[in-house]
Amino acid sequence: MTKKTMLDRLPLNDALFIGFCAGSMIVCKLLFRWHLGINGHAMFFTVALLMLARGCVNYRWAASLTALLAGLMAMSIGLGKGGPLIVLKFLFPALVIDLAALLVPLFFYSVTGCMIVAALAGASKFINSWLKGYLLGMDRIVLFQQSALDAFFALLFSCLGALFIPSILRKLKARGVFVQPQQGGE
Amino acid sequence: MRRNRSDLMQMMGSAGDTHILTKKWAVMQRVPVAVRLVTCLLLSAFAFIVRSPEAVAVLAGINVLWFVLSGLPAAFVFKLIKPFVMQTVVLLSLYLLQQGYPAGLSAGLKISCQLLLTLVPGMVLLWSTSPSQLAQSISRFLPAQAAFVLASSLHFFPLALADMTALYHVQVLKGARLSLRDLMCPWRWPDFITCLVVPAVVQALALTTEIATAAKARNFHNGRRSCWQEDS
Repeated sequence: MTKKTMLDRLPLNDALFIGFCAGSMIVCKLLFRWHLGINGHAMFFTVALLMLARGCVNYRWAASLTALLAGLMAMSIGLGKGGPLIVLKFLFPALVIDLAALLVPLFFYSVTGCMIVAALAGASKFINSWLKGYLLGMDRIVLFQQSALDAFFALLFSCLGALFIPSILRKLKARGVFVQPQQGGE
Repeated sequence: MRRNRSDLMQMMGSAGDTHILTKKWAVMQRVPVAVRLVTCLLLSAFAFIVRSPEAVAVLAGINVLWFVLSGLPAAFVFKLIKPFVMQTVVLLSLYLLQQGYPAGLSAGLKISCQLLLTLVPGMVLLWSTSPSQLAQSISRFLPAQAAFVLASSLHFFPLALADMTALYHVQVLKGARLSLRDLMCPWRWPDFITCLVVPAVVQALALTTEIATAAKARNFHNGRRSCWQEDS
């Protein structure tokens, strides 16, 4: 008898939807590469699509899996700054979303809930930015300032991105296209 | 009209392009992709490890060598540096504010160089390797099911995009305000969600169910046999 892994509990159609969400994240990131000097604007799509993936798929680690796939896709096409750390860029907000869904499974249907989770997910950019700077041996004060600046803009854009999620999910639920996540489990 | 995978890579722009290299000194083309991938990760990792300006200079030299041996055109240097201009400006200002003129400038420049060196190996690898070769190499490190999902998503994503484009045109013909100018007005965003995002998600969910049914009909199950890598 073979041991069941976490992925085995995920139906193939849901896994493919997660793959589509990851692909959409990459395409959005590529389409909005305008180099305007606005930090964190990619978080708008990242958080929105991570929440959509977790909201539509009743699987505990749906957002993290989406982030992992998106990270691998981004790494393989050399997208973004930070080399191999690009995976963490997607993974930290995804973990926040998954953990929030574990604690409050129905937060996707409340604008306030989504905004709070998105703010936390956006703020997780601080860790990523700090880690990158720390590994590079940056001056502590500059590192803190830069990470805070990055996190602030990421937070702003992720809140904007999360604003539309409750209405999208409510409309999808009304059409009966997916089972509402009740317990945040598989 | 259905698009194929190469169309998607074209849509993805310059980052998705792979350049056929025929230069004599492009020896990296003859090295297996897995070796190139590991070298790329090591070079990126070294950019985080090095501390002294001399070591950064040596690493920059190695990266230049990696770039040359990959046989990429010189114009690509500007494409590499472009995304870092803004970040360098911010970093230099922060360092100058913190440490003053000579010390802040050198420290800021060193960190900016290191940041650039984290990206160079990945970009060079991308520009000199085909996406399918890269996907095949990555699938060696992933579980079979994850590799299948990654490959299937990449393969069928153009279908989802084509569906969304068709949906967009149908909604515009029906009178939905979805043009770029309309999207500039935030009060029209609910129209965008109702007319495009929600139906697109419904279509994507339907498409994934179809693909999953087709895969199951072809006796897809977990394990190496079902992994797409073995068929190629």
